[in-house]
Amino acid sequence: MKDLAPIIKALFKEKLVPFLLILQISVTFMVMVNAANMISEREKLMSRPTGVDEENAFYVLTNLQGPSEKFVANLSHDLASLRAIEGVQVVSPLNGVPLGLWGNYVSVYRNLDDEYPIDNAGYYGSDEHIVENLGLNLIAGENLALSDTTVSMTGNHNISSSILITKAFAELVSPDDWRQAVGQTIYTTNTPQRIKGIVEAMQGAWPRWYGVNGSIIYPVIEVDNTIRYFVRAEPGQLENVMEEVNKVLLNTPGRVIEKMQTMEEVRLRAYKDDNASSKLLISVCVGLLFATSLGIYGQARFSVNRRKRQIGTRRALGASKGQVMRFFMLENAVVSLTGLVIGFIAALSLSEQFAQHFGLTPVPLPYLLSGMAALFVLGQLSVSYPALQASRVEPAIATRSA
Amino acid sequence: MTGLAKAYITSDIKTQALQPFDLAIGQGEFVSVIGPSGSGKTTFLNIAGLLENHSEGLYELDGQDVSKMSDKQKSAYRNEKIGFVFQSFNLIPELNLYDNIDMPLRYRKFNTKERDERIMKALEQVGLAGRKNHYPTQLSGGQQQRVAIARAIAGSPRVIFADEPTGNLDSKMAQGIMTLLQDINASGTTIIMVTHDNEQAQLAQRIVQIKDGVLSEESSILTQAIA
Repeated sequence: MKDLAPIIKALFKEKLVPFLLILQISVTFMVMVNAANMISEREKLMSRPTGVDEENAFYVLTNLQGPSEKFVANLSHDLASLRAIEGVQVVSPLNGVPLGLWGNYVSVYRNLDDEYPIDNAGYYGSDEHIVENLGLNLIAGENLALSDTTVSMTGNHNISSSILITKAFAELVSPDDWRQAVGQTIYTTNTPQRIKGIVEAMQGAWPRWYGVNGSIIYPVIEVDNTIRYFVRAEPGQLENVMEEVNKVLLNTPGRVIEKMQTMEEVRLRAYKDDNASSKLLISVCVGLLFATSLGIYGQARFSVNRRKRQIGTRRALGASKGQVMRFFMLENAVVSLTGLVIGFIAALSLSEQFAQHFGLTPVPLPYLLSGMAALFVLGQLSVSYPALQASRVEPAIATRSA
Repeated sequence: MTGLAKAYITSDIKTQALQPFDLAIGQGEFVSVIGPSGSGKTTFLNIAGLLENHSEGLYELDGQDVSKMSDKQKSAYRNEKIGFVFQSFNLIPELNLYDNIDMPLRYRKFNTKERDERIMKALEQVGLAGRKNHYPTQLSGGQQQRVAIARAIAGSPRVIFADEPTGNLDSKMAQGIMTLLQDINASGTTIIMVTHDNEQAQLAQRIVQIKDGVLSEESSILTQAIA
């Protein structure tokens, strides 16, 4: 540390090269921590549970053949055939899947004559087994019963019934105590609906929708010419079951299977853009870190080559190899820390702008501190080899002609 | 130095830079080393100043066999007991005069007060105390060499090795530097000066000549005076 004061004075004298390096480090830090924060935000977003047991689950979108009066019979036949397949745990008709990018939502009113709704909610329709079959977690109230279930030939939910809602929506219905939402009546499409129970979660169809966590589950089986079956297979049986389901459904003449996707595929598709932008941000960060590390290495290497005689003089005047190495490490530490302090302020400012204009979460302090530590270590590692080379400069170089 | 020699060996060739020689220099002597370019003067100075290792023979400095010293010990020895004055001054351009002189003292772990006293005393001795905050580029060549001498004497070395100390100076400035070196020598510091200038060499008490790597004692002013 005894070289610190002269190093600082020399850097002030030299100005341009240290300034450029400081600028590079501060910009890298500013971009890196904000990008890391964005990546983390996206990861959090993407890892939100849908509420459905996604493992070993898939859905199939197909058609119910024949005239509409036969839809119910065909549906029952399909369900019976699918449930009979070896490896199938459960099968439910379901009018949409969480994160499926296709779905329904309804405006929910507290009273029939209210001008403004409580909010919009995602809408799911299935049979009374939906909680068990989709692996939902009932956390308050009662489960649906057979007596609650209705079959709708019109393909809508305009039927008065007992419903389940998600906890997120219960918090809107009863802000003081979400549990108190049980038993309350709410109105959708001018129809009263009694809240029978609350499930922990069941996300809506659109991952970026503000109301993705607020959903309503109706015990209404919508029977139309197209139908979705949600299937859960025994562990490890997913592929076989999907193959079998395909075969069994295609045994019916006129059957068209429009789509068959695992819930894993549904999630990947839903977050495709987020995944891509996360990867892009990671690439930018890696690129920036690589460029900065290369910049520090190159500058240090150039500095050592340019100052060989000076290093030789230092050695001649009594600096040990270790002292020469420490000199370069310390010099870089001063430059890096200056860049990091400036970068810290810049990162905070950028984060504030992002929070203000794009609603992002401000970069947390641990991110800033760990980012500083990481970049500092990277800088020191980058300079270590040139510093080692500097320490190997022979003192005799001091007497060679300039 | 007994039977001391230096050879540079590469994969193809062995170059004998210094033929084996014996030389003893006592404390407080002023010795000039002269010879034409490429004769081995600087090699001799590098070996004598512990900047380079010799290939064979025995070199005892202040009673210590230098071949048994580690690199770190040699660094410490150079720092404490040896001062260097280089032909190109070798001042650090980014540091002012004060910090240039301070540099070797910092390696020696002197406290701030002692360093300050030594720096100011050395600057006064070379007549540049009023310019301690100037940078080397703001000085003339002669002044820069004075700073280099101040840097060499600030640590109170036993011996100063001067490599062509007036080589880059005009005759007037050179004369000033030689006077300064003589004054330093008069205070008891051994000076070993490599030069190609016969006139300046004559100012030393002893002259050692190196030609084609062969070292020989040419004359001694004291001997001449006695004769």
